[in-house]
Amino acid sequence: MGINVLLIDDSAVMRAMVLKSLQMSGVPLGAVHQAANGADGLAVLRQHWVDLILLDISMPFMRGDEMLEQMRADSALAALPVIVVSSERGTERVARMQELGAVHLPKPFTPEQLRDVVRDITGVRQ
Amino acid sequence: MSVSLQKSLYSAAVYTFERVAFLVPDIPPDAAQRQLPVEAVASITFSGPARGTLQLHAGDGLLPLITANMVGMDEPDEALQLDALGELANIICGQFLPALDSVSAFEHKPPEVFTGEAFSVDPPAVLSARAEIGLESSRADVLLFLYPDSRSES
Repeated sequence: MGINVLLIDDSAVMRAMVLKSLQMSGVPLGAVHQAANGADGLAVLRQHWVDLILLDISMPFMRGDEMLEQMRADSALAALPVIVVSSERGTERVARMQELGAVHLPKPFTPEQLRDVVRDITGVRQ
Repeated sequence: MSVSLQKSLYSAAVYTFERVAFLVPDIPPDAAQRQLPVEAVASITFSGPARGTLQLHAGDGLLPLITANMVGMDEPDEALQLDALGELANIICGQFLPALDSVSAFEHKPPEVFTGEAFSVDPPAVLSARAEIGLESSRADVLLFLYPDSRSES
């Protein structure tokens, strides 16, 4: 059985690229959901079972760091694994998200790098 | 213009075009590539240890090419093409900024994308580096503008 993934990025191009990388990485995929900002992402989480979130930071309406803060404060969502996919490096926002348990994967990345991070954070091998 | 900044800008741009858009850059662009008009510009402002703007200028014909390579779609619509240009600029910016200061972090805003050659940068910012790159039958220019008083020389 594959893992259910939620891709959150305001760029449709980035969502397509992350999905393509996931498909090439060999990670077993289940349902793939998409959202264009943190608020829409939270709405998806209320409706669907998700095993892993790939989350951008800078987005309109609700940023990734704001969404992560809300998730960690919600007992139903607090333990969900989150990978922060962003070109930001070393910023306070990235550090804060890492403190909240997210793993940072800087752009650009290869499918192999993505696979390794997914394996580390979910424990899923094949 | 600073030679070291120029070198870092080329390095960030080439790396990004190769890794993200799967295009092998020609440096310098040939005469035909240089004559192509600019079709769109993606602009990103950043702040932190230095303040400025990075612009990615796309020559005629580049947008469908990069978008097709990035998302695997043959005929992407205009919105997706402009989105792709903004994302490339975003990644080039993230790759380049540590060359300005590798210790302190930068904050950069989401890319703004304009069609045509109409764009502006606040007058105090000066052109500090430029990378001109040929990409198949088109071209891209990456321009770095810095506010002179915002950067502490290290």
